[in-house]
Amino acid sequence: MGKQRIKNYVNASLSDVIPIFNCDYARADNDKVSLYKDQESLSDPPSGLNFISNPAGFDSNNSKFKLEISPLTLFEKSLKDVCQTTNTISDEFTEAEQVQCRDVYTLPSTSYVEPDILYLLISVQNKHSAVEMLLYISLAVLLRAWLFAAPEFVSWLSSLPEVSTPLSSWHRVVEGISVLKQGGSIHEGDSYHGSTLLLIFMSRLQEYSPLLLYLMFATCDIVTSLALLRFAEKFIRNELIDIYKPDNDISSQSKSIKLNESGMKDIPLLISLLYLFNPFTIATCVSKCTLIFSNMFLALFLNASLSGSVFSTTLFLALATYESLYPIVLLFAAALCYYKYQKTSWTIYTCMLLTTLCFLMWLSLLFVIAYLHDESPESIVSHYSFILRVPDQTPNVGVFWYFFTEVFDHFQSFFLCVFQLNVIVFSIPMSIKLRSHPVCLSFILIGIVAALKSYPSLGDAGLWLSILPLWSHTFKYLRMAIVTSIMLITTAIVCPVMWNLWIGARSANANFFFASSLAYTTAQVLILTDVLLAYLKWHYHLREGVCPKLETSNEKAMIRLLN
Amino acid sequence: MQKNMLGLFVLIYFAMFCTCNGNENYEESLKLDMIDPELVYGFFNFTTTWNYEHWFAPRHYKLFPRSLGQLIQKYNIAELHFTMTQGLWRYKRWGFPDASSPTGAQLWVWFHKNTEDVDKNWVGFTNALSGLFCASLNFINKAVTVTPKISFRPVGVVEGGETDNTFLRYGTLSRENLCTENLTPWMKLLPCGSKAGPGALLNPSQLHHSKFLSIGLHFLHDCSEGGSCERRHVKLEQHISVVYDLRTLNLMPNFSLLSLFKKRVKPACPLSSRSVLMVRVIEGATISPALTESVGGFSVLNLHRLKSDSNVQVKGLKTPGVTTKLNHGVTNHCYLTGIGLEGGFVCSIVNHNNREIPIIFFQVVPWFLHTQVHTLKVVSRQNDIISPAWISYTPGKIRESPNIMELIVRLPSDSITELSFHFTKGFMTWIEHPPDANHGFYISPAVITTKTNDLNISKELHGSVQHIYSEAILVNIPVPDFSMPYNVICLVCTVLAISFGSFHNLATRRFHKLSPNEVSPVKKKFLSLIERFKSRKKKNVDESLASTAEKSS
Repeated sequence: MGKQRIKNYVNASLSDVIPIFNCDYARADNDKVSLYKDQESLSDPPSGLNFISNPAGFDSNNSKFKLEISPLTLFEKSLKDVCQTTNTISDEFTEAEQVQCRDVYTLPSTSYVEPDILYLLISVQNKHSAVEMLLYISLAVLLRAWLFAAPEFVSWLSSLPEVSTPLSSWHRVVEGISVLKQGGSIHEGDSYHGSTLLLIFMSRLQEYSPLLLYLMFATCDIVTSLALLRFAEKFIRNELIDIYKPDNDISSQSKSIKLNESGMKDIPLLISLLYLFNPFTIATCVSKCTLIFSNMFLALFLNASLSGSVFSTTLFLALATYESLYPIVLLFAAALCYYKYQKTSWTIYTCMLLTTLCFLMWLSLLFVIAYLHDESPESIVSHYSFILRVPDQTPNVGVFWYFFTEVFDHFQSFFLCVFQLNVIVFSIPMSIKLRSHPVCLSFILIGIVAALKSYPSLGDAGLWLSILPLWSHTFKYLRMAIVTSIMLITTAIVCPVMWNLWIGARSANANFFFASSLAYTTAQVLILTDVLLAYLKWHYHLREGVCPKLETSNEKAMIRLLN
Repeated sequence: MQKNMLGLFVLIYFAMFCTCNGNENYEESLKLDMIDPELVYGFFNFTTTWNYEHWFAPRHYKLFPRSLGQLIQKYNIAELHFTMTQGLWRYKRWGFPDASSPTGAQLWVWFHKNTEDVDKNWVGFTNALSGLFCASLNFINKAVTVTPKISFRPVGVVEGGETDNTFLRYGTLSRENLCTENLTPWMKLLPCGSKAGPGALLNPSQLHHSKFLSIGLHFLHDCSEGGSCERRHVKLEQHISVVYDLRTLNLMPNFSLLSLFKKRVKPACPLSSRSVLMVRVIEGATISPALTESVGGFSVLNLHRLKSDSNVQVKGLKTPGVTTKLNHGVTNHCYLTGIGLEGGFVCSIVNHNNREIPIIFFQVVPWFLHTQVHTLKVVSRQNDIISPAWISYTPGKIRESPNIMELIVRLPSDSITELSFHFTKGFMTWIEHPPDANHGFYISPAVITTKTNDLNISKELHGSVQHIYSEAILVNIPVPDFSMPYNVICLVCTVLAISFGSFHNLATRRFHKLSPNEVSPVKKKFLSLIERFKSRKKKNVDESLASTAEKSS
C-alpha cells in the first residue's frame, strides 16, 4: 500500500488553476478556492475541485495554495494540460511526487487514461492508513484466538447445523485424516466429503503443528478481508471512471445519484471490516469449517477479476470450483469481467474462449494433482457426487434437507434435478442481463449459490452479506429493506433456538427448525432480488435522469418493470 | 405278480434305507442344567451328519432336510450359521452357553470359493431363508451386511485349506423377534419333527414362557473320524437354548419336564443313532426317577431304552440366599452416552481371569450413526491407555453399508477395559423409518471373540471359539414429521418459485416509462369494481332513505 500513500497535494498558484479549469479568474478564500467565469460564480465548481480544502497549506501571501488533483479532474480537463501545469510548478516537489507526475506526463496525450495510473491517484484519497488496518486485523485475530481458547463454546458452535455441514465440518476432516492414516480410502466411506487436496493439505499441516491450523484459519479470514478491501477499492475506482467518462450515456439530470468519491471512500474498509467481524464469518472460522477456503478463493477471484488478468482470475475460480463445485456458475462472469477490464482489446468471444480454456486448464491441473496424490478416479468425483446427489439429509439452513426427507421416493431424482438446476440456471439469463455489470453479476450469483446450494451454511451468506455495502449508492431504491433485513436477522437467531428445542429439549419437532431455515432462505432470496432491482433501477435513473419525463408530454413519468 | 412287485419295492426301499443310513447319522440330545436354584437351562441339540463322495450335491434326501439342502446347493454355500434369539444371555450370572447367540436374528454364511457373485447369492439366500423360516431376513440388505475380517472364521473344514473372507457375509437383525411361526418350520427340519425323542418336548407355547430362547441352525463341512481329513461329511446342527426362571413359573421347590414343557419326553426317534436326556441338578436336589448312568456330572437317560412317554422330576430345590455363580471369563456390557445429535458408545469389557487375554472386538454401527474413529479409545480402569494390537475400520456409506470396527485388544488380567468412540446421529428420509419410528433403532450387539482355551471353558457346539455378545442397544434418531410431506413439498416449492419468479422477472423485463394516468389493466378493473360496489351501496342507502321518508310521510 506504500505506493498509494503518496500525498497528492501539489503546490499551484491561482494563475495555474485558471487555464486548467477554463475559468476567467479564481479567488482563494481561507479554506477553498472559488472559480469564476464571465463574472458569474459557478454554481457547481468542477468536480475535481470539490476536494480543495486545505487551510493549513494555504498561503495567500505568495498566492500559492495546495491543489488536490482528483482523477475526476483528469476527465474534465485534458490530461495533458494537467500534467503540463503540474510539471511547470513542480520545482518544490518531493522526489516521490515528481515520479508520480512524470508517470502521468509520459502518458499519451489522449483523453483516455490508463486505469492503473488513475488508480494511483484515486487511492491516494483513501485516508485509512496501514496502521489502522493492522489494528483492525490484530483485533480480529485476537477475537478469534479468544474464542478458540474456549473449547466448549467451539464444540457447541460446531455442533450447530447452520454452521457446519457434512461437507465442511471439521469433525469430518479429522475423521478423514485418521482414516487416511490407517491406510483406508476416504472416498469409499462416509467419513469425509470434502476435496482430496484439502484433506491432504490439512493432514500435512496437522503433522507439522496443530497450532498452525488455528493460525491457518485466522489467516484465511484475513486474506479474504484484504482481498475484499482491494476488490472494493478497485471496483469503486472503476465505477467512478465509468461514470465520469466524458463520452458515456449518463443523463445530466442524474447528478444527485451519481457515485461520488467522498461517499464511497469508506466502503472498502467497511466491507473488509464487515467480513472480519461478521458473526457468521467468526462462527465459520472458529468452528474450523473448511468452507472458509471456498470463501477465500471467491474473494480472491473477485479481486483478481478486476485486475484484467485471466490467469489469476481463472486460477481462483478453479480453486473455488474444485472446492465446492457451484462457483462454476461464475465462469461467464469471469469472462465478462475479463472483457471489461482487459488491458488488451479482445472481442467478447475471444475473452470467453480464453477464460474457459484457462479455467479448464487450471481445473484439470487440480484434478491431476489430486489424482497423483490418491490414484483413484474417486479422488476427483467423490465430493462432487456428494454435492450433487445430496444423500445426507442432515439439517442445514438450505431448502434441500427437509424436502428430500419428505418427498416421495419415486419423485426423488426428478426433484433433485430441479433443485440443482435451480441453483445454476440463473447464471445464463443473469449473465445476459448484467453483461455490462460483471461485478454485480458475480455478486448476485454468489448470493444465489449461497442461498440455494445443497449444503449451505451461515458462512456462505457471510461472504455476500459483507459485500453488500458495495451497492450502498443504490440502496435508496430498495423496496423492502427493513422487512428483509429483520427477517434475516430474526431467522438467524431463531434457527439455533429451534434446533435446541427439537434436538436438545425434544419439545419441538422438525417443522420448527425447517420453518425458520426456510424463512432464512426466503430472506436471502428477497434481499438478493431487492438489491438487484435497486441496482438496475439506479442504472436506469443514471441514464434517464432522476425524474424522467415522458417523451410525448413534459409530464413526470412512472417507472415500471415491464416486458 | 403284483405281490412280487411290491416285495421288490420293499426290498429296494430297505436297501436304500440301509445305504443311506450307512452315510447318514442322526443324534439328538437334551441337556438340562441348573444355572442356579432358580434357573433351568435346557440345551436341545440335533445333529445330522452325511458322508458324501466328492461334492455335496445330493439328489435323494433321507435324514437331511431337502428344503435346506436345495438352498445350500443352489446358493453354493460352504458354511451356514443362523440363530434367532429372544432375550439376552446374561454371561456374568449364567456363564457361557453351549451355543451363544445375539438378541434377534444373526446369519453368517461362507460361500464356496467358486461362487461368481457372492452378493447376489447372499441376497438370494437371505430371501429364500426368510421364506423358509417365516422371518424377515430379507431385511438383511446391503446396508446391514458386512464382511468381518477375523471375527467369524469357518468352523468346519475349508476347501483348499485357506480362507478368503471375501466369501463371507454376515448380517444381524436385532429387532427380529423369535415367534412360533419361526419355530414351526425349524422343527419341521428335524427327521422326527416334534414327534419323538427330546423334540417332543418342544412345545412352542411353553418355550415362549422362558427368560431366554434361542434357536440355531448350523451347516458345515467336517472331517470324518480319523486323523487325516481325507473323507469329509456335512453336518447340520440344530439347537435350541432355553432358560426358565422357576420362580416366575411358580415351580420353585419341585419341577418336572411336564411342568416345564407341558409335555412328556417320548422314546427316541427311531432314525437316531443316539438319543439321550442329560440332567444335572444342584446340590441337595434329587432326580426322580433316579437315573443310573452318569457322564461328566450329568445323569443320563437313554431315550432308546424308554418304552413309553415319561416324566423326569427334580425335587427339593432350596431357595438360595445369595446367587454365587459368577462368570470367570470375559463379560461385556455396552451402553450409550451423549445428548442431542452427539452420541458416544461405550463398552466396558471385564476380564475376570488372572492372566492377559487377547480378544477380537467387533462392532457394526449402522450407517445413520456417523462414527468418528478418531475418538476411539481403549482405556483400562486404571486409566492406562491400551493400544489395540490391530485395528480395522471400514467407514460406512449412507444407505449402503454400515461402519465396521474390528480390533484386537489384549485385556490385562483382572481388569475392566473401556472401549469408547463417538458418533453423530444422522438423518433418514421418512420412508426409511420403520413403523413406530419413535421406538428407535437397534445397534447390533458388539461381538467379542475369544478362544475357549483362554477362558478354560468347554462347550458343546463349535468348541474352539467363544463369541460373547453384548446387548443390542436402542438408539433414538430425530424423526421428521411424518404427517406433512405435502406441506413441505408445497412450502419449499413456493420458496423456489418466488426466487425463480423474481429472478426471471428481473432478467427478462426492462424499465419503461409510463404516464401516471396510465394505470395497469388489473388495477383498473379493481378500481372499477370498487366504484361499482360504492355506487351500489350508495344506491341502496338512497333507496332505503327514500322508503323511510315515504313511510314517515
